[in-house]
Amino acid sequence: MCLCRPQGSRGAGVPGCVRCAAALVAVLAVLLLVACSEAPEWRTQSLEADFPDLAFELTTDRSDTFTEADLRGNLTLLFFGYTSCPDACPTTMTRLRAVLDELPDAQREHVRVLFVSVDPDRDTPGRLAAYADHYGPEFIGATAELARLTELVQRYGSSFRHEPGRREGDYVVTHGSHVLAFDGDGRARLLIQSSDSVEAIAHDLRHLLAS
Amino acid sequence: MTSATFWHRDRQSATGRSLSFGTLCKRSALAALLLAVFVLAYGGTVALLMHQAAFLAAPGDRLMVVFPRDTGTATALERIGAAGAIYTGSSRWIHQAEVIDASAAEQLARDAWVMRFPGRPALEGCFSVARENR
Repeated sequence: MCLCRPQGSRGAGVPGCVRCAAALVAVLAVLLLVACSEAPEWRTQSLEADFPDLAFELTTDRSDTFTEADLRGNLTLLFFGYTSCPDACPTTMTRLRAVLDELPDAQREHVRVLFVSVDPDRDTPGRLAAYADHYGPEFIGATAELARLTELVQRYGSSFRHEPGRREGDYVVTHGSHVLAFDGDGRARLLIQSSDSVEAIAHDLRHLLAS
Repeated sequence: MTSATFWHRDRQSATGRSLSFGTLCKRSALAALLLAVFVLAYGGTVALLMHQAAFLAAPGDRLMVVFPRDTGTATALERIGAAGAIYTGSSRWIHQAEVIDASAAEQLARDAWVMRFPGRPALEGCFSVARENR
């Protein structure tokens, strides 16, 4: 006996049990969609709570020991690249500049872009400082010796590799183009990809700075 | 036997006898079981093919990496970086990575189940140079 249709009735078309089942599936689907969907808080990728905190010991043109303590209280955007990079690095740095220009002055002064060079042989602290200064006062260039650099890069799930060029001493460094955002306490909050728009990044940074 | 007869549209068998609710449930369960077997077989085959394809991954390709449950995020990140890949996100326990070193998948496969996203993404300047030099 089907509970969805009175006994004895012979309805045309779809049987009552099938209608019941279809209705049940539809209700479950709606409940599932409602449960799974939520108002998007972030437009870039939010990171899990157990992502490693910001921790480093680097060298800049002003300090041989530049650590995360020097950036405490600021929102830090960490990016690995090198000054001789043909396009990915200038593109990313220019985008970050555009993002900072989208922020109100009161928020912008609490943002720092930490550009860590993965080419310590060619990127001296002085060269890094000149490169970073080109994009604005919020940009900091730093590097370290290769072993420490490798450890730092791998800690955040990144990697780099030197590829030989066509001439002696001429090489390129293959690396990622993503940017990690750390809040004022050094907690990793966002993973910013090259596909994220300037507006989306600025939206998330405003949200972070306001919280 | 047509599908209509199978589902007993008119709640009558070929002999004119009414079928019980229990019989209907049994046949529904059988259909669901067959569907589940099909999905598992198809999904398992696709997963295996994606795993094999991972070992052909070249710089710029994307991987899905599944570490054992007791692997923490920090450990997973270090292993991805050490293998020559770049972490690009995760959904629950499935991490996504972009290949830097051609042997990244092989190295990751020692500790994790690795699959490759089909197709090649657009290459950036640094990756395209690496590809030319291979």
